[in-house]
Amino acid sequence: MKIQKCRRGQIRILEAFFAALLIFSALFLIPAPSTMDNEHSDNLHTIGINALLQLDSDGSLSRLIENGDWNALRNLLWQVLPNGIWFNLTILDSEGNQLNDIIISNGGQVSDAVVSVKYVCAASDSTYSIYILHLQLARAD
Amino acid sequence: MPAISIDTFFACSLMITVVVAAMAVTAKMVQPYLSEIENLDQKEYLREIADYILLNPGSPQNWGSNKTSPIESFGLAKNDSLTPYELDIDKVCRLNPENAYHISYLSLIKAIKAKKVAIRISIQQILDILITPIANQSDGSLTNYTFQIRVKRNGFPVSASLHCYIIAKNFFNYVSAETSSNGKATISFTIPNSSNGTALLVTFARSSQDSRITSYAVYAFGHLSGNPLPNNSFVSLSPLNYTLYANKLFENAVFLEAYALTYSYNKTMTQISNVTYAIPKFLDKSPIVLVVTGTNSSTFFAEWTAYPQIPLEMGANMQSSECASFIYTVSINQALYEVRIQCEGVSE
Repeated sequence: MKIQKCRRGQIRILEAFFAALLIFSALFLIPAPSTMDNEHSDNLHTIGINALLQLDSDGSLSRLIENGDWNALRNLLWQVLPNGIWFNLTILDSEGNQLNDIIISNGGQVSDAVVSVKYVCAASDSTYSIYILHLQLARAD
Repeated sequence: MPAISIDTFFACSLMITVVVAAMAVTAKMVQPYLSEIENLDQKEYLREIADYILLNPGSPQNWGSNKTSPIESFGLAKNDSLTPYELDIDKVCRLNPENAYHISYLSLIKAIKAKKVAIRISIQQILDILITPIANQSDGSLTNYTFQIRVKRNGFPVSASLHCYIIAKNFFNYVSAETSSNGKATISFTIPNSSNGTALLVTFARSSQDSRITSYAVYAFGHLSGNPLPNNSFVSLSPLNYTLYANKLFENAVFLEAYALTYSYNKTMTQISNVTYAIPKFLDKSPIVLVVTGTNSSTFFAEWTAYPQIPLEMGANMQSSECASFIYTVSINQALYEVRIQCEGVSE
């Protein structure tokens, strides 16, 4: 009888051991956060907002949208944004209809880590039309 | 040894092993999260410093134009500006080590009031202008020059309008041109042979997309003479508060003419005193290039500076350190520039 009880104890200890092992091995599945991704995301968001603010400060942005001069807008963004940044701009009216009929971008997407910046711009003429800009930005890997 | 003692020993060994392994695994898993929080805090802290520098005018609010009062708090924004990221022209000039009234790095760090932080500020023009001489040919009393001008942004060609000024001894002229789609243009001009000595070709390029993207470049060459000495060999030029302070580096130097040039306008500057000129306030979205000509003994010189004094770079050496870098597009007197602020340090 004594020997049987002792063996039952050993089995429980082994069960506890494997249970603990299982729980802690699950921790390995939690991915560690990436510092670089967060840094780049924050930087890109600031860069995007800063660029759009500057272009909008004298009404250039809304003027180009009103005229539908998408090529000029693409060249302007390309000149204002720092080197090595991919962008793709989509412009919607106040009802959510897409206004740009061509892609306003400087090439193919260079990274999966894309940051999206939303910016609302008002026309400087008497119509005061509202435009919603979605600027996607990515840095080359 | 009784069987129960062996069981107890075996059980305790297993327990200790599991507990130690659990502690090791937990420590390993939690460490990146803890260090990440610390990194994010530091990064955010440095970003706040960079934003503060560009969005606040500092104290006193006119510390840029007032060269006598000490800086209590550092900020580069223009006083009472309605536009974010609009910088004060004089505050920017006082960052340039070439300006006689520049602030030292020590007083900058002291005025930032952030401990254990190193900062480097660089301000560049948006467009790069490359000037290359192609040909020159003397014909009677005139010499004809041809230059190629290339306008680039991040290495890619930019179509732009060019306004070029030619300054030599008793000679001033200008030409205009447009770059082709590959960002290149060729300009030609003639200079009288009697105007021998140092000559300057001051070129302004304005982007076809936005007039605020206007940059300049200056090319010095010897007209029927040897290569000119480097800029600031005869006179040290410091613009501040719409006044140009011209400090002669030689007693015998005599000033002849002083010009203020922008993309659209040019004007001969009025001399206020022996060593100061009034800089006109142009309504032009352009940097102002200031040129002073003169003679030292028999040598003619033409020296220049820009207002604002950009490009500039000042602060701690960050070349061999891992620092946070923040890039902004800012406006100074309605023209756009690129600012890079590099920070390194820890929050307290």
